[in-house]
Amino acid sequence: MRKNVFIFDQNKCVGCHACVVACINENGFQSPDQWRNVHSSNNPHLPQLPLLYLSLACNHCDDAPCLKNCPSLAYSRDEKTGAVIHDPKKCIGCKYCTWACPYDAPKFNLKSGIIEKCTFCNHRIEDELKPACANLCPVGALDFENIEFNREESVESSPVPVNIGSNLKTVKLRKETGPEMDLEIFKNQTKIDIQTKKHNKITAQKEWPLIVFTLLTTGLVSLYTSGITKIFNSTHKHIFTGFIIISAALSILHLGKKLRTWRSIINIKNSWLSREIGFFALFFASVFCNFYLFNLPDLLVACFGLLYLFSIDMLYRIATWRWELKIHSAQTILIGISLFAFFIGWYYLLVFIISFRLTIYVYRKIVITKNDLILSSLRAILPIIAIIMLYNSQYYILSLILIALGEVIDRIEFYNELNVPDPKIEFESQNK
Amino acid sequence: MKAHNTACPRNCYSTCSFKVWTDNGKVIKIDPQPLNKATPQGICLKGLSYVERVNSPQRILHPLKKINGEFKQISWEAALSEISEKLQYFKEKYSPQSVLFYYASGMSGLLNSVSTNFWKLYGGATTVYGNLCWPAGLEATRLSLGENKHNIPWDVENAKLILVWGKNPAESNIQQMIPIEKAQQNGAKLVFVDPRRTASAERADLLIQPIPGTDGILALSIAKILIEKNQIDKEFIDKYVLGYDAFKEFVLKININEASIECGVSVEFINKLANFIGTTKPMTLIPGYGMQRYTNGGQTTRCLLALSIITGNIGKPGACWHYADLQSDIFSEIKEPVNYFPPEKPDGIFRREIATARLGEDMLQISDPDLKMAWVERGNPVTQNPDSNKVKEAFRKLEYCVVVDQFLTDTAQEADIVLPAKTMFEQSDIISSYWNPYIQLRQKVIEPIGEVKPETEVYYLLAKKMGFPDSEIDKNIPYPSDEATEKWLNNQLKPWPDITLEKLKKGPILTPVLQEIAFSDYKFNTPSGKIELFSETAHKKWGVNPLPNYEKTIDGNKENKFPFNLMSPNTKNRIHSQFGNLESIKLIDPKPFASINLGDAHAKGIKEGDFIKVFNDRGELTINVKIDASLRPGNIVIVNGYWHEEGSCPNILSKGRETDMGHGTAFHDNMVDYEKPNIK
Repeated sequence: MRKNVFIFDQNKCVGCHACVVACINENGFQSPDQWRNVHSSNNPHLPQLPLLYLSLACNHCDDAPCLKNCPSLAYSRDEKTGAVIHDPKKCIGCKYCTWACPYDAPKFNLKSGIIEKCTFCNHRIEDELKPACANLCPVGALDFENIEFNREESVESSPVPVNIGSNLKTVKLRKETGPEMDLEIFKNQTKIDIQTKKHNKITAQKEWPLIVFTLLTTGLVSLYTSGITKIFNSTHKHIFTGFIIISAALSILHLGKKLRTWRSIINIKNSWLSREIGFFALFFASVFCNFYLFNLPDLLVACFGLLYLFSIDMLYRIATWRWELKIHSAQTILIGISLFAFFIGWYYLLVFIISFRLTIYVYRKIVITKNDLILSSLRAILPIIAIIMLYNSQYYILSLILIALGEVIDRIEFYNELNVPDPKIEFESQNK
Repeated sequence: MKAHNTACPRNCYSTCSFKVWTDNGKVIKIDPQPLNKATPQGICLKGLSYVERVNSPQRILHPLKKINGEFKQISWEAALSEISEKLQYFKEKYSPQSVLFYYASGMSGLLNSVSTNFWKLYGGATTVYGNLCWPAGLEATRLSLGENKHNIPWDVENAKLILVWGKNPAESNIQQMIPIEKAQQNGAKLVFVDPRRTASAERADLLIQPIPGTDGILALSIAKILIEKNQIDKEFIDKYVLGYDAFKEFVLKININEASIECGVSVEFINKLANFIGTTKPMTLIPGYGMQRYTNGGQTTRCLLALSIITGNIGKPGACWHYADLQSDIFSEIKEPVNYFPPEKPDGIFRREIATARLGEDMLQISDPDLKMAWVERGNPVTQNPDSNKVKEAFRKLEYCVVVDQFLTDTAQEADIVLPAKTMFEQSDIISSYWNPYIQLRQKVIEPIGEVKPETEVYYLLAKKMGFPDSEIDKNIPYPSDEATEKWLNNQLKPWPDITLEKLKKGPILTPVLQEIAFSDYKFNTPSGKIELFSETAHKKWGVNPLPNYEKTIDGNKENKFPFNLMSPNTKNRIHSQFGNLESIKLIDPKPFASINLGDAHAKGIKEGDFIKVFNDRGELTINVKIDASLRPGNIVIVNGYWHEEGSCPNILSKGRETDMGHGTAFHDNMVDYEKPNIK
């Protein structure tokens, strides 16, 4: 099938950034993030390694993850040109597409509170013109053509190892080494380790509202499901409802366009984010109903809760693509079950699930990521102490606090270990 | 919406043709102009940023007067009256030569000569001799080959060996990468000589990294190896070269081991480079302008050129000394570099006793009369001339200063009156190039924005105001109208009936005197009619060795207490001090930085992103650090063009000195030290 494709020649690009300015001239000023970026591998110029450039915007992928994952259906495809188009009027500014896209194409504009991205210069293609960037590359490294381009070529061309039908054809380097240099000149630096700043789109520090939100709502789900709320007096119920409102507010404040929150559930069909928000709404609506209106079957409410926790885990799947072990000790479903067991008093289940999670935790610490030793041991010891303390019921609250503390540490680590496919990381580490 | 053909008048090799789109009197878009075979795919990022530049809110759109240290908008009438009074006053009280008329390379075009006409009518002025850029290499080439020309840019495709020596075309001449890539596709070898590992060198086969300023001895060592291995073109030498025997005798005395230590390139790598040159033909040698901005720059250039000469790589397809091509400059009676030289017999009108290389020092020292006023256009000397603290001091000592510019540059900040300058889109003019062989029209496509007036109009009005005779004004300054400008330009085209403004409006025109393969007729305009490896003129005129030889640079001697070479090359993001102030450029290049070697940084405890103090006897600056693991140790790189306002103008550290020939500027001969500043 003939398709509109960007063609990028690694032999020709010298990293001049004309494509970036061409895009700005055509599509308006873009700040702080430009729609098109020029990445370079080997930024510190290590003598033994080649340096290549990559000019990248949106590749208008056949299986565009932005389009699939957008909870508010802000993305659509122009069937005539193949362009994946983002509609600013429909965007809620949740930034989920910035996680989903492996090419870092959607850019969040802080000022407008919504996403912006490359349009393929759809208006130009319609006039039979090349996109501005391809039209104005002074050395012909970036081009645009309507060609036969199959899935295999697409996968092979992709600068990030994903198979999503990206429409970028890469002409690879003829010679995969840098220039021959006299390494003797650089012998004063052979043993120096270059410390480059670790770039990660998702960090616990940036995403703290999400940490609070997921932990808080998981706690509320387990508390409710355990049946403790049956003995709540009206003050308890108000407090419980208050926490629900706080968590809902947290998640809404997280959006760039708060007034469009309603749009976040309209892509139930494809987006786990829509599903998560949907089940969240259902679960807490039914809790509210049970508290203040009429009784719904407990099993139904529990199901909503479980589906909600499951959806949270599923929506983070796009950020766990590099994980060797796909299951994480701080997954919400596991946190949920632990807390449920605690609240309902099924301590054998609690011991079982905590042991299971600790096993995963320790395995991860030893084999995969080596984090701060003190924090990790603390996280490992806290639930054990908590369980021992449970033998004496007067330490119930203290025990709960210790468990909660362990969960917070684990969840923070979870966020810090998330990483989405990112050309900045993938391309720059290509040669290492 | 309408598209117009135009061409970029910046001081840059490429001189790109391009199309500019306007809508309702506004520049809105830029497109490539494929008719120019040297720049067929379009202009660089700076050219694209014209869309912002011409419409920039920072642009000066009205005359400004400094009142209590702040610029206030005034009317043209007020500005011209004041300037006219000052000019009369300085002329009567001291003499016209108390006024410095300074211009640089900010905007090229034939109409620039109108400025000189005005100052002639005024009775003269003080002007500078020499040039900041390339004269040492031009003079070296002129002495050897008779004139400065090279093969058409796209002939590089035909080379089997491309030796780029001290040039970074990916940043300074991006379209040259097109024929280089094509040649590589056809199997050509690509070799770079540069202490830096530049973007251009990434696809090279070999990168040789000498100590800055020692290129001459490296080239001579290679010449020796070539001669010893008999990898020279004997037939070519016998027919066309003067002084080969003397040269041979001279270079055979070179001790390669000593030379290797001097230039910092191992004997192994000297041999590698020699082997490429000795065994691969045809070779195009592309020298840059950076290494001729040393005190030994002219002789260095002659040493490099000797490699092209003894291997017979001149006058054939793919074989070329690719320094500068002045074939499209059909309008100058005296071409560069000779027109830079101070006149042997002063005309009494223009006093040319100030070297642009020593601008600050000479401005302060010149007397009888002292300088009282300066008029600056197309230039930003406070940033771009060496030893800029001294330049600033000299400007501050003046009684009065007028600067014509588009933006409030460091120099404009020193002015009493700033007049708004046109952009390339606001007045038509004809430009040539020193790299591509086209004559081009830089078309007027919009009316000047705000109250902007082209310089010719400013001079016209000022001449009227000063009461110069109407007949003289009419002869020397075009009347301020589009028709009069076009008539004036047509007049310049008279000797070339094949070139008309109408034709130029349709696109670039190849220069009528073009020799596609330079020197293919083997005619050399030297005293002997041969290529002069031995140049009596070089010795007589400049006092240098008649043979290409290596002299140590002045600053670069090993006893210097400042151990690091400061390199100040050009960046793709600026043309000297232009463009860096634009938002679209700042997105890409947000803040000044210095590149230093990884090992050097480690030894001084400096990390990426740290601030360092760079200093020598001439000044100091503070700047952010980038670590470069492929920059030769002992070097620090701060690109040229950062403004004082940005805090990192590298000319704070450079010394005002002339090159060994051509009255060039040796500001790359510049040693510094750097350290982590004490935290206050």
